[in-house]
Amino acid sequence: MKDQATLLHHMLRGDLDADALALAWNVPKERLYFYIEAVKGHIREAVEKNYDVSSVLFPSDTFTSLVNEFYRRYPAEHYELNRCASAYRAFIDAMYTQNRFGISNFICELTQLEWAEWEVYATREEIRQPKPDQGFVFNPTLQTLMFSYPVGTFVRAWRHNDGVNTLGEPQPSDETVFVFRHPISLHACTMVASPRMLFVLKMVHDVMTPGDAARCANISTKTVLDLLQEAVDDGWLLCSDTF
Amino acid sequence: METARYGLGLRRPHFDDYVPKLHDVDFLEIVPENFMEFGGKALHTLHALREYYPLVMHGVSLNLGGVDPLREDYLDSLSRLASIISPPWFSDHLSSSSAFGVEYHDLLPVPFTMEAVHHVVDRITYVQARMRTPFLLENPSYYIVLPGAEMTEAEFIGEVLSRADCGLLLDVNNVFVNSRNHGYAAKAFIDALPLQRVRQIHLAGHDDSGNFLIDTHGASTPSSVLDLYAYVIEKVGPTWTMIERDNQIPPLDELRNELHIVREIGDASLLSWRRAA
Ligand SMILES: [Fe+2]
Repeated sequence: MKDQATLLHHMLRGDLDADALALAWNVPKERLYFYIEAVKGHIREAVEKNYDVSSVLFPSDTFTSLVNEFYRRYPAEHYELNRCASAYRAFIDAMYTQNRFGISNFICELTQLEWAEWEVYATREEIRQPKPDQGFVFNPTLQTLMFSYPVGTFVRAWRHNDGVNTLGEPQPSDETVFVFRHPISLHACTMVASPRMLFVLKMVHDVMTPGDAARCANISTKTVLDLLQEAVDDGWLLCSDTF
Repeated sequence: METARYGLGLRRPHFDDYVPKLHDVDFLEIVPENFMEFGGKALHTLHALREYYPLVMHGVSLNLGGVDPLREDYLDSLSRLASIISPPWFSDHLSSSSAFGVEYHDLLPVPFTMEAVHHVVDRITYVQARMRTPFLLENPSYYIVLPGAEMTEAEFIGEVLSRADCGLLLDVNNVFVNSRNHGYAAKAFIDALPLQRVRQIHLAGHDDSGNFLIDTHGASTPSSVLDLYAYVIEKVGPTWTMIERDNQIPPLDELRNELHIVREIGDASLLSWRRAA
């Protein structure tokens, strides 16, 4: 039993010729090919699904070579298929460092955002309603990601375009992106942080009162309260009447 | 006496579609791997649906036929999920799904040998005790017969079921696909199974690759499989039947229509079963 499992395993990992095994076992070789393609195909599907934007930026042949290399280098360790795509970010970074597959720094940042979206979708972190005396608190699923390319803008434009890639890679430009699970809809939300959002982020982070924040920024307290309400409506900030 | 129930597999595109309770869906089956490590929408959906439907768990990664030790982290997670939905049973396949620390996310065959029988039986016995929930073993589809077989597939399944004393989740589509791919008579195969152990039935569609049939779960249940299903029900009597659809998932109404046809066939076949009984 163990011998057979070992041979099958080597075949699936690409270390043993399927034709030779088919001959030795007297089984149709196309059925062994089927197993090889099925197992590899699951990993490809997981990458395509979780890196839906970056995967289509490669020419199809290049992407096939890329996922084959990923499959070879990063054997799937988790029984949950999507989680096996986690290592793809590190793989892309390594391929960028090695100057392979034409991978750019932009693609590295893009895969980082794509995986953050999956993490936020999947996380077991619970979003609880803050008590009235807690004031404003961050949504615990919030990830703030800093990029040197306008990655969030690109993703938004790409998705708005129904997945049709008509955009070239953007020029470098710093961008902060918020990814979080919406407390009501439970969808993963991706927002490019505007200066208003960054202002609220800093204010809540530094535990400033609306009055203090208003004084610092030289704006009215009412404006600050409006900004806070905007963040609550977006879902990345919580208050006692969020739900 | 058990009443016949007809259900569907809960899949992500339909998370929002089952409340309020659908009168024509008697139970839902979940793939635990799609829920075990998830919070958010997936978890929320389970909490909502357990109020309306009996939920059963049908895993794909238990790896009963694999050579690695059973994964305790997997079983921990499976237990946690079971404590949320209180399933009447849980199930997995008579297959290997990983080896040497690598997950295949697919079902690989196990040899039809006594060594494999003992191996799988030990693992089912352990898992059933650990989960404190009845276990059903599913007959999987397989595309090659590993060398050294000491018995037929039906004998192999029968040996495992009787020694492990567990139920059978009979996948009728798998029987059909295997019978074509390995050249045996599907009805004779069914006759050779310990049918008194059937607790649940799977129906699904398959694709024809030209050389052999592939168990894709990507199409509606064909009439060939429904005919075989009628034959099974006439022998098994009332049981839980569900449609497994994992690819090219259609709108829920389409699945409900398919389930309606399954129910009509199942109920009609039950009349024959009652007459014979
Ligand atoms: Fe099945």
